[in-house]
Amino acid sequence: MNIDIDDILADLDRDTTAIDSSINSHAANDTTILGSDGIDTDKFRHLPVLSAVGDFEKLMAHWRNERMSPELLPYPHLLMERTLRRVQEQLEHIECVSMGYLEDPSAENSTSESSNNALSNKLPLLCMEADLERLKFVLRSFLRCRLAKIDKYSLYLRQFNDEHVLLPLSELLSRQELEYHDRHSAIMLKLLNRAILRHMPPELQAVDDNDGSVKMVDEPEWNRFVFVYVNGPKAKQDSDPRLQVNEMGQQFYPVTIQELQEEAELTIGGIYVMRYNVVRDLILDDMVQLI
Amino acid sequence: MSLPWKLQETFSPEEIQFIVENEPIKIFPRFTTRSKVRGNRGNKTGQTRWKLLTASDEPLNNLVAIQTTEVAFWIALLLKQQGKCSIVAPGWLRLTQLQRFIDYELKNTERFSELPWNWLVVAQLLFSKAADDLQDPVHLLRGKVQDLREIRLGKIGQGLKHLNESHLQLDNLSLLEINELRPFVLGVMNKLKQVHGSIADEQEEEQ
Repeated sequence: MNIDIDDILADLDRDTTAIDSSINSHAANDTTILGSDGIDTDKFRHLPVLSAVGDFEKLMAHWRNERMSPELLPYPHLLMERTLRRVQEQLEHIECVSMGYLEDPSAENSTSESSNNALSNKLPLLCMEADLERLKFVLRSFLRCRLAKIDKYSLYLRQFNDEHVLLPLSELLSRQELEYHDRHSAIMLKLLNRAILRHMPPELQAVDDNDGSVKMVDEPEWNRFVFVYVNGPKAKQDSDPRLQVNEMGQQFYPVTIQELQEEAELTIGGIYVMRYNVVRDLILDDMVQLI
Repeated sequence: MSLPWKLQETFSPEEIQFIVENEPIKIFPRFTTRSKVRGNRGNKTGQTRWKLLTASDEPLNNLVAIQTTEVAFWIALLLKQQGKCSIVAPGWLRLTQLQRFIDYELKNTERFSELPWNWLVVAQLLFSKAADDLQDPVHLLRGKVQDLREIRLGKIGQGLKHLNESHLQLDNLSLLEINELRPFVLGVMNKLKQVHGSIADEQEEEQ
């Protein structure tokens, strides 16, 4: 007789991890001596998965999506806020730790054993600096990529200020990006106006004329091809109503390519070359990752 | 523009390496950071604790010499450089295992074997930075990896015949291989799509 006790075991597992995580969060609180007097962390404690590592993984996903997608994706406001605060705190932490080395008397003794000890004591500092540099690199690359897209689509983004669009511009861009967009397009307009446009007949002076022979507003190329990896929903397999099962027993997302009236299956774990507009919803829901 | 032209459509190989370096790997540390419970009170050792933002710092505060731990790849490389650990090569980086992959590749001409998505980068990094930690002689491993690479390149070349205007499935292709294919495949498919679109438009007009 076989009794399936996997669910009971899973129940027991969950209990132990709950205790573990509470211990860890206490330990983490102890190390954050600087700047945070416990209020910040308390405020976020009831929200799930806000560890630095989890946030970094999300940031990596955002970065990779942004680099590969033809359109400007919505700015992850909360995530960036948390990350930037962590960078600041870590900077101060590193500074404080390195102050400690000045006072450390063991560094002055020149016996081989203690110098060896000093090296191993500096390893964490070395790693923390490298770690911070890595995080800052991702942040920089992410923001620069977004700025490049804001340059490219500046006329298109101006249309977002109209009433009928789904997403307001302030959701799509951060505060600094909004300012950059405004001022940069103002400067560009001034240049074009002074150099060329004022010599044109009045009906040809608009820079965002879409009625002429060539459209002047550059829209993102919605059906450009992208490489995607299908990672599926995070935890619960049966939570997504879009998932279906094919005859091989694999789970997949059915998608339709409008232009060709063609159906395609995106099986979980597969790599595809797809048109961007076909998988856009899945990307925004984090079921699919651009690679 | 604010992003160099070269990086607008694709990742640079260095960025691919950066992505791979965030993955965990097993190491044998050669030093101990776990603080003893007994020694904790009384004499303060003044040992610096690890506090990281991009990788889990918990294992690093509990290192015990000669006890395997999983840490991020870039930390492993950094420690290795200092002579503070040796890296445990992943299971697939063995002569027997690689030979199995090569056999599979030769037998199934239609598909790619299930190598991890970062195999090329990991192999390259381990060969250059941690050659003394590998269990099999490095020159043989290099040979096998090169064989695998060439077999797969051949298949990719075959696969390029099937470029079309709707979609393509490329399971088990590694990130580096995708990255070197990307500009070509996407460029060709985008053009095919345009051509197909204009043909469809013409047909509609005729009707």
